Amino acid sequence: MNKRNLLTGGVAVAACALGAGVAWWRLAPREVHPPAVAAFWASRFEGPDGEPVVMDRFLGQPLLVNFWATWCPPCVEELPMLKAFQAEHGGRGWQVLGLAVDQVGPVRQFLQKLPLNFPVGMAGLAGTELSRGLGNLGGGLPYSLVFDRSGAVQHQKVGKLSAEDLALWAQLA
Amino acid sequence: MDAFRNDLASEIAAVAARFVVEDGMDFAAAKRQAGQQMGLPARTPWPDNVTLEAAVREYIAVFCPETQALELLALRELALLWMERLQVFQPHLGGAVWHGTATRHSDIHLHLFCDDPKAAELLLIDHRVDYEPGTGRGWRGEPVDALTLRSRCDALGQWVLVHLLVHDRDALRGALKPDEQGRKPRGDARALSARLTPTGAA
Repeated sequence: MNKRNLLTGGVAVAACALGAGVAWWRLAPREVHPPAVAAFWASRFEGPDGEPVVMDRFLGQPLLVNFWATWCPPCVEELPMLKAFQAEHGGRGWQVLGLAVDQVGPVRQFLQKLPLNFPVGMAGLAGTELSRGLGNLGGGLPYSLVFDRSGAVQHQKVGKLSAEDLALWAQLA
Repeated sequence: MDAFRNDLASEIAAVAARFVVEDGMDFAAAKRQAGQQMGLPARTPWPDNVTLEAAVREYIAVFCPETQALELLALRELALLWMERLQVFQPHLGGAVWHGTATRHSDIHLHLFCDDPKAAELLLIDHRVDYEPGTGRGWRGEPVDALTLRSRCDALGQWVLVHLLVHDRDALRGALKPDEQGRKPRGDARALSARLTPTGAA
């Protein structure tokens, strides 16, 4: 009896550990170059209207960075979810930052139709290289990553975000 | 004989112009359709494209000058948007949207110039843009890669096809040679912007 309980418990513990392991493996930051991360935090972008977007302003708070473009359909589809994320978790210190791998004209035009509640920096064509250094080896869009308060990459995702991804990320801070 | 030839050709052109403007047919299809409607044999003095284009302009001027102007403007703005997006490939606009005879049925034809022939396609893939690969014609009739994508045009309330014809970087000079009427056959983003300002000639 005791033995069986022990066994069941053991299996459960093992399953939990495996599940956590899989989750960790699936979400663990990969292929992030520390110098690239340091350079990223030291960088500055221009906003679509020429306003400065200085990265070190965001240090000390959990940050969700989203690489996107106006002509990338899945990027455009997930923007409302990111807006909702900012609205829901901004009060707890979360900050969303969009980095547009795009030209100023199309971005400005796009933001008139869909205003966002978080800042956007113009990463331009160099944005693809930047995202590669931050772990987006294929250079595809969209690409999202989460930094903790110390500025270290916690999680990342290539491709369209799901509601589950965002719910998981919200628990990180 | 010459008078007959010219009369018949311009008559076909006038009929074909309606198919181009109202149904968005390309020139060759419009000529065939016109010939069929007029009950003409295959060996007919077909109008050349210069004649047909003149007839298209006339048709537009008579039947739909205001709506066509708005539709052309919407397509040119959409073309400019894609030219900005594809800036690295020195995009040049050609076809009816460039020459000013486009209507809501017209597609946008952009010529791109790349060192790496796959670069444009890779950029579309990176941006998760759905496209259809095909083949188009270069300046000397040689086959070139054509990538066709759909883009929503809010001003027209419809989808528009954008054809990207991918050329070698060296082909750029050929792109700018004047056509048989001495016009610029294509224009870059700056030239298109000039046509979009109210003072620019269409």
